[in-house]
Amino acid sequence: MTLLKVEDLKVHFPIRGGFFRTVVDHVRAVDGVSFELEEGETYGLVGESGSGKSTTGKAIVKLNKVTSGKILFEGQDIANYSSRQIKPYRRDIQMIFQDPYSSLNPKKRVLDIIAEPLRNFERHSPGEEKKIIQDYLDKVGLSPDSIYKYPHEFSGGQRQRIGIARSLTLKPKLIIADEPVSALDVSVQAQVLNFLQDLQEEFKLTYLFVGHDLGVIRHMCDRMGVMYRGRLVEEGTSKEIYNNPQHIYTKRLIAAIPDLEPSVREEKAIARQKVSEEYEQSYSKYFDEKGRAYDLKPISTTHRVALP
Amino acid sequence: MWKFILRRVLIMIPQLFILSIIVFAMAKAMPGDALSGKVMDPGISPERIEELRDQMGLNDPMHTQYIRWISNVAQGDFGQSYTHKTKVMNVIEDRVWQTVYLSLFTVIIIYALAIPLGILSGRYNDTWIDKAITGYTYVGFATPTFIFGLIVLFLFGFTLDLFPTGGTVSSKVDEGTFAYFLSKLNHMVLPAFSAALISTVGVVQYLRSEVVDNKLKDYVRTARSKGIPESKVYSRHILRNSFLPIAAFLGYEITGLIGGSIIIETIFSYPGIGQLFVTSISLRDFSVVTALVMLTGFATLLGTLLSDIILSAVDPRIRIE
Amino acid sequence: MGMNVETVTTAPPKEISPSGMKVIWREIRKDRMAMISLVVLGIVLIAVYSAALFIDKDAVARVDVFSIYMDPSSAYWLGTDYGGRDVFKQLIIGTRNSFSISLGITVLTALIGLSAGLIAGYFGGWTDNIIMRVIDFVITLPQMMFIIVLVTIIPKFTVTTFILIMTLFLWTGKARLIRSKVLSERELDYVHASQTLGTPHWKIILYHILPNVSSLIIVNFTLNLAGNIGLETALTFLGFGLPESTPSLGTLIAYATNPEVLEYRWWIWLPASVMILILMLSINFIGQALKRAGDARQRRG
Repeated sequence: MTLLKVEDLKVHFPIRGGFFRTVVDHVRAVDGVSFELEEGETYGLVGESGSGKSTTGKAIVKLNKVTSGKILFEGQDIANYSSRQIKPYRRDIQMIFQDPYSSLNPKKRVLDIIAEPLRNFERHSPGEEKKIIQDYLDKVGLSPDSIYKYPHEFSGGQRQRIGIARSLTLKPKLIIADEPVSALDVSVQAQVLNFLQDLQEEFKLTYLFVGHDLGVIRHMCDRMGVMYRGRLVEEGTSKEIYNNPQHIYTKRLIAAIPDLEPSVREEKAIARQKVSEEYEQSYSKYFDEKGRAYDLKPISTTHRVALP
Repeated sequence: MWKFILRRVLIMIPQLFILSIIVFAMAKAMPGDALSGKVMDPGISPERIEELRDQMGLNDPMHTQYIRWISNVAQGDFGQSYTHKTKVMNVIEDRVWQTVYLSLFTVIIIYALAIPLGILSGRYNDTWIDKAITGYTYVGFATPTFIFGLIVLFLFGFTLDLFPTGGTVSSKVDEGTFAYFLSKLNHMVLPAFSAALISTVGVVQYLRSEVVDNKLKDYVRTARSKGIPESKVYSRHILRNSFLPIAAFLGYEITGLIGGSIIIETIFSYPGIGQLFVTSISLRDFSVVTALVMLTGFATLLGTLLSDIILSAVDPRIRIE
Repeated sequence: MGMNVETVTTAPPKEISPSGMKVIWREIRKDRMAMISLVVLGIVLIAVYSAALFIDKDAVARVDVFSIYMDPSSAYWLGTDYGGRDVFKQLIIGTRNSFSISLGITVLTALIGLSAGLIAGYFGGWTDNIIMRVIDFVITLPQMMFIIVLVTIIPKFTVTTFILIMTLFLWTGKARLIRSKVLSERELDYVHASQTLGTPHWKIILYHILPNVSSLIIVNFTLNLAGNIGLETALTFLGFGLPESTPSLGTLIAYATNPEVLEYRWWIWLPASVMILILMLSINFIGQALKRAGDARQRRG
């Protein structure tokens, strides 16, 4: 069943200029993006910084204003809901933030941080609330005694776990994870990722996973979309994208993944060189005269590529 | 750049308009009008006064009165002062120059003190000299001008009798002579220093933190590593970066001084516009008061305009907003 | 702080608690000038407020033609003024009035400035635009002149109207300061997180952003309190401050506009001047220590 369907989503930011500070142009951060998430799957959005992947994620939780397009959650278009209308959906769609340092209020205790969504939607006695919070802390692998501590007493990985616990308390259906591990040490990254996968099974979660690290995305996602300059250039299962990239930008992105095996280093360098040359030569084939990627065209039942 | 200046000037137009409306409303709220002086005169009957009122348009609707008032103001006509029995502009013109001289002298002292103190304090931060200077800035920051002025007047004007305690020039010297000029300076020493010693504190603090911030920056390290002597590092590199914003504060500084002139001129019986304002308001000479408020308001707007423009010329980031 | 030589060399504490009050208290205790200021201010205020309880206000204000301009004596510790009134008792009442009224102005400006700053900074857009235009305008006015004119033309002038007039002009600086801090604060992810968690805007402003700008508010409050004492007494000194029924420290200093008093009867105006200096200096020193406590880079421990 389709849980989330994004249709031709556009998020434009005005550029003001000229004498009267009028809107002279727009930054097309997200410029016509469409994709679907099935219940229980993990969908990845990859791209370089500035490609609009985070903006897409934030538009779904209404942190960014949608310029046009539809965001269908369980069939309801929530794209233009007012903050009152959106409130019931806040329970179902939660977000995990990139920076575990700024995403937790430094002046609040762990108890208050994790209880914030609960207090907005449910009524519990302080005793019950404490019990619930301790359960969640236990689930994310933190000591239940830490409820009275402050965020700065934890490491980055632990803080991210607190943020995850906070997003779980309302039992959401969809979690948007905005580069949830990119601010963490590599050693902690795998831990948090595996743990996110465990939670997915336990809570039947659907993830929209935003990231720039192809390794992480491949590890996590069933399907993925590659974004470039506010547009999707290719979409398919992780396997298809990795083994059979069709768009020149995807090819370059894949070629750029470093390989730890020293013996193939030479080989890889040559391959990268080739892709780079191909990119230079055939750039105009993949983008229209304004440098905008074409609309996606299916090349198999699951695989879609932006071709003219 | 020109766009910024033009936009900044355009912003001033509505500000000026609102200022004029507020001042006009204040003038109307002030007790009495141009005829109040004559009301006291028993020789004029109340009917006659009402007639005069009509003639002068004082019974017209507010907006007609406002338009008449503002077009007069635009031509520099603020009406008659009933205590001085002459045009308001004549009264003010006499005094404005005294305040301008005093303000200029004060600004010179402010910068003459602030620049060496700020640089010393920043260059040798956390040494005894820095501690002494920051100590001074803390005390200066906490001391109200009027108290400092009074103590200065008490000590140097009266007890030690070193300087004159009021007026702008001695009556014994002839205008145009060098002695006249010296006497003027002599009369300005106490008020100017009292104001400057307090006002300079902000500039010293700003300059100090600029120097402290800048001296650890990479461009200064680069200069040092190239072997440029320390004194040149300060004079050529750090100061250039720290000075311009300081210079740009000039507009704000002058604005502040005009406001402060009320206190300083009252204490030192210095006949400038600040003192004129206080005496006019005590004597209920409201046409003078209105003119002063309007002119000072205009001058303050100009002062901030000036500072904003210099700042934007110095620091392009400000222009982008 | 520049004036005292730091002797405390204890190792930095392992755990830096974010609970603002503790940090602030620790900073002040470490700062000798701030600690002295706190003690001095405490003693002065307790003494003045309790002594004021035993002084008959009407008796102090009563003119006594038989004791005009008396020198200090055991009966009149600081002599008498031109109306034969006890200067020392006026000093006590004046200190109390000046401090209380300045505190009132500071509280009121803080409330208004804080609300305006929080709203403008958090919501941005046209709300911010309107509030900022108003602030920019009020800040460029020659405030002292406007205050004096308003004080003169208000028909029924009382302490309350004085506080209101002062507030009308003084809320702007605070609002601007708070706004710029809130602007940067609202871009942090914890605010975004609260928004996605369904927390209403007013709760985010009050329970999330406000605690994070609190140290700025406290510092600014203290420095403004000192500033307002200076401003109130200066206006009263000029004759446009508190109404005569409410003597202030400025009232005593205003006697010094008579050169005779200034030169030969310093005991009338000097103690009041010194009192203002003591109040303003000690409050400022405390404020500076608070400022350092709020700014982690300047913290000493």
